Amino acid sequence: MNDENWEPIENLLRGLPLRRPSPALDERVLAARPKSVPAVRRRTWAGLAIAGVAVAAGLLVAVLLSNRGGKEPEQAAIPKEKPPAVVGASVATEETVTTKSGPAMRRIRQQIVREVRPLDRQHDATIEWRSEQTEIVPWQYN
Amino acid sequence: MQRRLEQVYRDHRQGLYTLALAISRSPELAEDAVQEAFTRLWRSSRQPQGDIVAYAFATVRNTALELVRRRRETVQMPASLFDGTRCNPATLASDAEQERLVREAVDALPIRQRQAVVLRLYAGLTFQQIAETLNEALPTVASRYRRALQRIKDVLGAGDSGLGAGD
Repeated sequence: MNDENWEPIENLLRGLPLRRPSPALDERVLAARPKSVPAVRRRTWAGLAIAGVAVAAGLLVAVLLSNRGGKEPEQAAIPKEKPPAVVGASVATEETVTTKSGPAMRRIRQQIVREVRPLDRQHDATIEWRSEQTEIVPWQYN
Repeated sequence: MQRRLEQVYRDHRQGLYTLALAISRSPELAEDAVQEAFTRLWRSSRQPQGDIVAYAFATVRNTALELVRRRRETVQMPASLFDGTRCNPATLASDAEQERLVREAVDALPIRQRQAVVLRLYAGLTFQQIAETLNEALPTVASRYRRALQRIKDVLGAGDSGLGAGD
């Protein structure tokens, strides 16, 4: 059988007017589509998944931090800043301090100069920071 | 998935309905079958493995067969696939009798041949899609389709029809 031989009868069949479905069929079929509920469900599931991932990530970070904290002191993470070197000091005030039961003490307030940053040591240029500090020492030390 | 199915419905609405009608021979049952099939498709979480068009047609077909089995006794007068109130505008008055014979011949086809003709000519499916829809081998489907055309041609009578389909 040759395919081309069937063309006339195929064309005749195609030309026949088909019985049509009622216009209400579209409404019936399309009304059965899952609309808002599944969409909400999908969003809910997506939200839950994101929340789950966030919680898991939080827990992981917490576990890592707690393990790290157990092995090393927390301060180890931040290097302790070395105070600038004292390059000069002068006594500002000096007074004797007595307590009820203890020996006499001396309170010395000093003007100290710290070298904050050497700019050029050859030309003796530095940034300095002046401040006061008070220390109390036993009387006989001085 | 939902959008694709909706597009399949919009593109193949008439073909899906005609297939359901070819099986059920009842306009009401055919509409029920299409509606129920798409309700199932939309509720199903399964992704179709092959062609989504063939998948939708197969679902409509299976649903129609199921409804027919369930409500067999309710189908009293088998309805025609064709609209008796309308005529093919290309048909001349002298050909009206021939057209009537063709309609009757199609309606009288065995159900499997009728499905093949509907899927090919009125749904516009390829033989591959028809094979997927009917869950049969492609050569089987193609030969069944040709047997259906031969049967219609025989009804018309080769000499008077002018269709010229040589055997």
